[in-house]
Order: sequence, then C-alpha cells, then structure tokens
Amino acid sequence: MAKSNPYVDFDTEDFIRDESFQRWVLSPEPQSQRFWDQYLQLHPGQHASVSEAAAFIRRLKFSSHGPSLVETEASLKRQLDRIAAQEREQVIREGRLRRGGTRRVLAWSAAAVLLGALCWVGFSVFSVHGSMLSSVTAVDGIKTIVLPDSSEVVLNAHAELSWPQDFGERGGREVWLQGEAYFHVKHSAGSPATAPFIVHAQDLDIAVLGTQFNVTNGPGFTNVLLDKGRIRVRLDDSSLNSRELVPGELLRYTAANHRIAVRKVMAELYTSWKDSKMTLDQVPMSKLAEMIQDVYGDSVVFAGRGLADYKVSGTLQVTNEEALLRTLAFVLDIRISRAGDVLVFTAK
Amino acid sequence: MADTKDIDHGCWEQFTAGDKSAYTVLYRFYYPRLYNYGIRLCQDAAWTEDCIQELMTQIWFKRGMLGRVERPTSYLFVAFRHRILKTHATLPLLTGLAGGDQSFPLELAPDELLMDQEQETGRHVYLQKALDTLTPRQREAVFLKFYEEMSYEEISSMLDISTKAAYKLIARAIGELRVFSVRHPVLDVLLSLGWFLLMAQSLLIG
Repeated sequence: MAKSNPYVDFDTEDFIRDESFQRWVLSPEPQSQRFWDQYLQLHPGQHASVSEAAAFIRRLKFSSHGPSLVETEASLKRQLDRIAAQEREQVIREGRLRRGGTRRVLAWSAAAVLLGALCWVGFSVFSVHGSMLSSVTAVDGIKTIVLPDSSEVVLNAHAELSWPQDFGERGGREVWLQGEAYFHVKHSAGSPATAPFIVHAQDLDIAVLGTQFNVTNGPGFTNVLLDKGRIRVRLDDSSLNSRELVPGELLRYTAANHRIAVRKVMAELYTSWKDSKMTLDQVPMSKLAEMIQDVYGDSVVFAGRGLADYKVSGTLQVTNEEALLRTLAFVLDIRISRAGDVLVFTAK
Repeated sequence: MADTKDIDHGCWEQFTAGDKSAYTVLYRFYYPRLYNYGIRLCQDAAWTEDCIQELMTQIWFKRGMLGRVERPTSYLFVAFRHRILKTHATLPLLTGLAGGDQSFPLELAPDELLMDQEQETGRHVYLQKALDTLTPRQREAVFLKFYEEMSYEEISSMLDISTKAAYKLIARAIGELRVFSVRHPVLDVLLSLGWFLLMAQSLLIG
C-alpha cells in the first residue's frame, strides 16, 4: 500500500476533494479507519493536512429542513390512501372491461376496500393485537379520556391511545400510546398487585400501580415523568435494565445512542400542557430552558449575562412551542431567535 | 463501494415485489430526505409535498420495472429533481451563473461543542457568509456531496453534467469556502474583537 499510495503528495484541499477521504470523515467504517490510521503512521508529516481537511469537512454540517416524525406519518397516511384509491379505480376499470362484470366489480371493489383497510391496520403499531377495540386520537387540541377502569388519560394534540377489547378483564390493563399523554391511573377494584396498568410507549413500557405520570413519545426520544405514586419503566431495548422512578423524576430515553438518563426536574413544567397554561412562581430560566430541550428538542443559548438566573413568574401559554416562546419573549421582554434547533435568548 | 445512505437492498427488493410494508419503510426512509432537498430547490412546501406524493405513487405502480435499479437513492433523487424543476411554473431555472442568488439556501447547523469557543463561532459566521456567496448550483452540489454523501458520479447524473464537471464544480466551491476557514491571525483578532464589541453592546443595552 505504501509504495503506490496516491495520497503521498496530497495537500489539505486534495484530501477534502477525495471521495474515499470524505467517506471516512462522514461515515467512518473499521476498514477506512484502519487505512487512514496506517497512512498517518507511514506519513507522519501529513498529520496537519489530514486533520485540517477532516475538520473542514466536519464543519460543513447543515441544518435540516426535514419534516417531523408526525408530519412524516401524516404524509405516509395520505400516500397510502391515495394508492389505495387508485388501486380501487384500477380494479373497477379492469372489471368493467370484462363482459357483464357488474357483480364482479362489486365483489372486487369490496375486496379492495377490505385489503386497503387491512394494509392500513397492518402498518399501525397496534397490529400485534387483533382485538383492539378503541382508539382515540386527539386531532387538534387536548382531549380527556376515561378508561373502563375509570383511569383518566389526557391526550395532547396529535396523540393517539388504543386499548384492547378485553381491557381490565383477566387482570390485564394495557394501553398503547403514540404522542404525549398524562395518566392518572386508578387503583383497580381488586388487589392492585394483580392488575398492573401497562403503558406501551414508543421505546418502552411502563408498569404502574395507582399513580400520575406523563409520557412523551418524541422524534428519537421518549420521556416519562412521574408526578405521583410509583412506576417501573421497562425499555424495549433488552440490554437496558428497568428503572423505578420516584415522584419528580424524569426518565429520558434517546434512541440514537440507546441511553437512558434519570434526573430530578420541576414536574409542573412538564405536565402543565394539559391545562394549556403554566403558572410560574419564581422559576429560574435555566429550568425552563432544560424543559424546552427535553420536550421540544431545541437547546437554549443565553446571550447576555444573568439571563439564565432570571426568575420567571406569571402565566404562560403552552399549547405548543411557538406559543410558549411567544409568551416567554413577551413576559421577559427578551428577543428569541432560532438557528436550526438552537434558540438564542437575547436581552433587549 | 457500498453507499451507506441507500435503503437496505432487501427492503427495496421486497418493495419491487409488491410488499406494502416494505413500501412504508421505504417511504419513511426517503420522505424526510426528499423533503429536505425539495424545499431548498423550490422553497414551496406544498409543491414539495405534491411532488413527493406523485413520485412515490408512480414508483408504487411501476414497481415491477424497478427491480434492476441499483442505487435507489440516486434514482429517486434524479426523478424527484426533474419533477420539482420541470413542472413548477414560477420557478427560475437554477442556471448557477448568478452569485449572491439566494436560491437553494444552505445553513450551517450550530455545533454546540465548538460554539463554546469564540474563535470557532466567528469562523462559523464567516463560513456561513461564504456559503451564501456561492452560486445556488455550487450550494446544491455541496449539499449533495457533504449532506447526502453522494459520489461525484451520482452528482453528475443529478445535475446532468459530466463526472469531471461535477468534480470541478465542487472543487471550486471548496476552494471558495476554504478561504474562510484557513487559520488567519489577522482574521482571528478581528473576529474576537467583533465578538467583544457585540457582547459589550448587548450588555450595555441589556
């Protein structure tokens, strides 16, 4: 390799332009790693050029204009509906071509409709459970549901909750959640220990005895916040141990690196969405920033000394991030600007 | 040379055989990327969405003919670009001649780790300025190269130019961007001075 190595005379810009060099920097693999390690060992003089070139490529990281997970799912659903409709049309057209096909057309289109419906169910998370009875979606706005066992669930906008036909029977209380919801689980009439309440979220399950807690299925993360009582969280990723939470603790699972983090937070900041507003009394800005990062995935940067320690009091609109930021800017008389997923808070 | 940003080959094959669940995997995989690219091309969210839906409908009904597609990503992006640009009534053609033209915007993502250092923050600002002064076509090529990680060959078929021309286009863009990232003592001093003034100003006003 060393003798005929074409990279011997490369300067920084040559490296940047080189396809396999780019690939190594952007998506390193064991093989390319070995190659470049070895190259640097043989040509220590090239160290500066190589690291400069790599740093340049790494700096070219662009913000994404990509849609959110929810938007992607909505688009996918529209797409599948569209395809199903066209397939029905196609079947009908083909049926008409055959002689005297009226009855057949009907039969075919019924089959097509059924097929479409089956496909759609197949895609949803709930496909495992054939006997899913009820499913409630909060299309826009917040919705409160009372389950057969009189447990209450407050669904945030776009969230969806499903439960099987035999909910509460044979000792099982299981629900499936997409999006965000706040749970107030009632002790079951019988012995609580025999009837655990289980919430299946995106990446984890939560086993509950009577308790109040909040679940957020976000893009790439799942948050569980315990308000009152006691819960045990089991991760879908079997390499991670289950965790028991005490009130006021937030468990955050990040899908990208399979990490869980548990820490104490101000619970009311995370659950106030269900009342559409939060009433704050002397809450430090840094706590609010932490919540914005946890819930909306945007990190907050303070430009100006002392802003982070600023205490916030008042009532904030929290129906969505935009409304929250707007009220925050107004209440604090600051300017909030966005650069990708970084929010900059500037004192006016 | 395996392209890591291509969908799993097995999934593509299942889809071409008519498997709808493979199709949904495919859709979830490509929709955000096509959207992220299309919105830059036409800066029209509704149009981008329409084009993706039409393209994805078409590939479902033409799936029988797609079995031989070796690079799904390339195939979809080329077809998508055509769709967006050809049929959009009001879109100016990206001739790529005018510098300072703000079509195909490309914003640097803030790097939290590096942003702690003032010098790096300044460099970030200047690199962004340099990106803004590239031609839209250069920006597009840089995006396809360093964001989508396409090969020069793939970029050449995207932009309908020779591989050599694709290489030159990107080499030139790199050269222009590099001016702003090469260590330059005077620039560093100016940058930190600028930041000092900025901070002082915000403190005074705040």
